[in-house]
Amino acid sequence: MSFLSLTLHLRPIAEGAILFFQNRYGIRSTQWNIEKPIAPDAPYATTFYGATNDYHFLCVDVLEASITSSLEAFVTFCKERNLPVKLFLAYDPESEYPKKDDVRIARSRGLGILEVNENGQGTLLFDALSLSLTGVRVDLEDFPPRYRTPVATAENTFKNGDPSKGCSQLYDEIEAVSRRLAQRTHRRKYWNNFSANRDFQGNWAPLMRVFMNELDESKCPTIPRTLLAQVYAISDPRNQSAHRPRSLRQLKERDRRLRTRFETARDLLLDLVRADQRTR
Amino acid sequence: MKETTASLDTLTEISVDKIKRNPENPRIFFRQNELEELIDSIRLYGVLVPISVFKEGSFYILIDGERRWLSSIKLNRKTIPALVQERPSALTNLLLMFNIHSLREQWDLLTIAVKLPRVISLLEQEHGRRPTEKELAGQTGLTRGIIRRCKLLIDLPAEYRSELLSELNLPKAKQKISEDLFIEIERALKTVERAMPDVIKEKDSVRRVLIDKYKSGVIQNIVQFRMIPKIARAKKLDVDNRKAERVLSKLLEANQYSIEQAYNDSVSEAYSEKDLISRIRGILDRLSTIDPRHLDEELRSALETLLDSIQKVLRKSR
Repeated sequence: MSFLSLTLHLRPIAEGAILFFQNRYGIRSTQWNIEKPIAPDAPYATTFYGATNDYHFLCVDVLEASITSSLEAFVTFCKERNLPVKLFLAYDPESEYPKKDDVRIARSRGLGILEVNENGQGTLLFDALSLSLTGVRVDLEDFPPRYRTPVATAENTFKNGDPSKGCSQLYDEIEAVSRRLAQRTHRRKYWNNFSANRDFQGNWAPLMRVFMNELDESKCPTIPRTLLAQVYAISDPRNQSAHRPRSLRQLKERDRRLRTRFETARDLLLDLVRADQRTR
Repeated sequence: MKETTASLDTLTEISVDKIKRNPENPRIFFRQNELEELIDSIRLYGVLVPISVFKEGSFYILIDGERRWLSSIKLNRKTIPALVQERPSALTNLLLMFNIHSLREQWDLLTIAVKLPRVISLLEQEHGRRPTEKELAGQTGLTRGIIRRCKLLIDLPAEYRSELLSELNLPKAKQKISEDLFIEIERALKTVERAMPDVIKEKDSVRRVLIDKYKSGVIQNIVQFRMIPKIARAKKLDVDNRKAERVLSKLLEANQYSIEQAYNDSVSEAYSEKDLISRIRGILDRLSTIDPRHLDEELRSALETLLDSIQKVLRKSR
């Protein structure tokens, strides 16, 4: 491997890191790009990068000190462009770096940390998240305490590489709250047609359609029809299909779509939770 | 910024892909953390000082600015501001490197030492004789002291140069051995060879013993090596030469015997005395300049105390 700007004593770290990721992701040795940018207008070239079988960029920067502002600029670039980049920082375990602050910054940005010892063996301290998923907006503090755990769980699932499932977990919460609201408003006779035998445990989509059509807004102004329409829109599982991406372009599009879906679901859940609080 | 046509001595933007490292650049170590700082600086402020290059075919060879060039590559900059200069001769190329860089931050001495024989050889070719130390200093911008230190390093066996090179590659904080260590060892051994030629049987193994003692902490700092020549010059102090030879022989063997111990076991008392005599002579010289009629009380009291102490020592010595 021919490195230009990487100082001599760090090259074994880079080579050890290449071997580690080669084994982990099956990237062939000829597929690594040394000190090349991932895009023509990328603001920074990491020590090396490769492409995984699921179309992610796997970028590794070998560092001898703290995370630089140039690297941070690269992270921002990837997030803004919605690039599915997994960025790892590689260090010598004998080094005084990374320091606690570096680890904190790396984790908050979704960066991975790999240590490569003098024998060229790599140890993954933290895995990297795809930068196309890490920027999702959650704002946990907006939620009442009882909802923070499930929302945080959904966030972790999303960021840890299963964005579809993360969205589903939010939908599960939305379903639970919306069923509860339906039941409560029916019991208080806010519906146009009261029925003692109504089933609130059946399929969600039909229930939401009935709820939306039957709720008398004049009796329950705290739950607008538009809110129920949004819930109904996501309740149909046919709308939730997620196909496995077959190219980088499809992966970018999927991640962008799922980020939007997650944030929309998050906002919807919050609106429902507030409506739930107002109707108590 | 687009690449522009380069003419001599003008500022232009050159594609970073068309630039090549100067093979004569003595700087062979780039500390990664320094490069990372430069990268951040260039990202914020750009390349403020153009690099210097000369044209060779369709490429440009660096005269000055390798780190700026590498930083620009890391930052995915397509071009870099450069001053294109006339292609220098091999000798001028090399001397330019030395002169430019000797004005800047400290190079590792070994990087200079490695290139110095080539400078000497090129100068010899040009002038038909080896340059003197003074001429070499004038041409390279280095001081004569540095040139002498470089020569000590050049004369080291290859294995030690290699060991030093590996060490110098590391960040400063991690380096256990340095050029100064080897320089002090070589100076010390030269004096021992001259003053006590029988003590050193095999110079290479003696070097290794001293390096290992330093690395293991038996010898605690580099300055202590300066005590070795003092032991070797025992004869000049009327110290038992054979005792000094025995002490040095023991020091130069693999054991836990330190330089400090060797010094204390041989010449330390003699040097203390010499030092004391020198200070006494200094005091006597000063006293001869004092007018006794204008002695102040504090000085009088100090002299009386000194007289008392001297008399006590002399009485006990009888």
